[in-house]
Amino acid sequence: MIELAKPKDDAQYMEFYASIKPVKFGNTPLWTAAGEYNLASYQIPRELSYVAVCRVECYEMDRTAAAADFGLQLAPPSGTAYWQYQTSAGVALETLTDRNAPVQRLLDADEYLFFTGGNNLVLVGNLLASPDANTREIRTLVYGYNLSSILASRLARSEVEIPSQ
Amino acid sequence: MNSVCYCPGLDSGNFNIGYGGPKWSPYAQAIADQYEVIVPSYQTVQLDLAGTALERKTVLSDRAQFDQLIFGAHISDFSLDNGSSGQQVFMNVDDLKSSRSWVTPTPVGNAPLSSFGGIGISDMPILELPEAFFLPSNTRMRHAIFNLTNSLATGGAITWIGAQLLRPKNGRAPSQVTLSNGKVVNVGWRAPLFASVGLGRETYSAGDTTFVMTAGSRYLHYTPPINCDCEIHDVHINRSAEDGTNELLVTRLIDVGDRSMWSPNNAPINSVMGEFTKIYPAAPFPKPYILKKGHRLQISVQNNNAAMTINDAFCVIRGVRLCEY
Repeated sequence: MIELAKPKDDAQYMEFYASIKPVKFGNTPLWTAAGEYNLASYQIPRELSYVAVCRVECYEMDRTAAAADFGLQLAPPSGTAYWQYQTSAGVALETLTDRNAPVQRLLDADEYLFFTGGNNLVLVGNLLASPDANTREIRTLVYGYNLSSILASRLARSEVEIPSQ
Repeated sequence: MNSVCYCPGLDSGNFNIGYGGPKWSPYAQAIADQYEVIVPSYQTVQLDLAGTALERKTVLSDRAQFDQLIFGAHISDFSLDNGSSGQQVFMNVDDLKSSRSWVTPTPVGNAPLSSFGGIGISDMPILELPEAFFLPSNTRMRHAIFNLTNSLATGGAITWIGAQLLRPKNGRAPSQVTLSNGKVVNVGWRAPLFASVGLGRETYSAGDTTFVMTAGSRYLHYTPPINCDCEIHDVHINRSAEDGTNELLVTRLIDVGDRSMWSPNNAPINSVMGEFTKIYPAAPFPKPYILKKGHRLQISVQNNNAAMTINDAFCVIRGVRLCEY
């Protein structure tokens, strides 16, 4: 990320280096019924300028004893997924990406999205019901960087767009 | 030779300050300064649409005896059918002398009438052009109407509001004027720009074009590259907020050619785009933005309505082309 920002000299390289911090976050909700699940959530620090999300990994796993697919990592469930700001109580504030985007666009995909500090950032999956009615874990891992505004101003211009069809 | 000026001055100092009056741009003032007499002008052009499917019609204005500066327009006289205030009637304008179209040819070659003029039912019945348009004497304006969304509107008229310029000081209309900053420019250098962009997924069937923003969906659009610098002044959208849906439409504008122009936030659409029911039918930028030659504006919109699909919303980027003609 620092190289992408093209620091002009060593001093600026160190300034950028001090302005970036890798972060990882993600949840493990239990999924059976159709509905909305908070797959990953992160309360972006109020004092921070931005967080850049670079990759989302997501899979489902059956942890039921003696299940035929016990421990197997399977593709994310079907449905739609989107990024959203929520209140601290979990009420939707603003949907940031297409609510109708199929899961493969956001789950288990490289990413390049920027979100502002002070918000509760949530990756929501609006999933179909488990076909065999078994309860499975959905494990999501989001890789990102906390950034200062000086880095974001150089990098965020190329933020990905996820348009609807 | 003594010349007699048949232009009685007002005792109040020859200008009307009753409501503040329209502000003349340096370009318009420089042109007007070349004339001795300036008279307000209101020219109504009856569009008289028949309401047939996918109607196309060309209407010419009358020839005016004198040179004119056109500042704005008013739309009126439509029926109460769909598109009744002109927001779903689409038009392109040029003048028969230069044939320079006001509306860019892509992505949609026509702009809703509500981006040209204010509507009688709205709080602002006159919409000002981004820059005054100089119309030479005896030159007709061509209004090319195309009901590309098949709105079936009938009737309609557009009234161009401006000033007639009488008795040019040099005996003929100026070809060049000097602005207040000392720059010498050709008359006609500042030409109107209307870039009309349909918002949503485009569908087309037998001449009927529809743009659909599905509930929850996000769309990306671009203005065409222009072959000269442009000043972008304001943005218009032809959707009414009466049903409350505009509250949940959000947008973001980016200059594709400018690395530093970016915002992480989506803004409610009425904070960026004016529409015909509002006092600013075209919401002005805080400062006109110079869109460099070859650059394009990227417009992303997201329909955060949970269940409402929005059809046939068009935004119109309005401004001034700075081409050397």
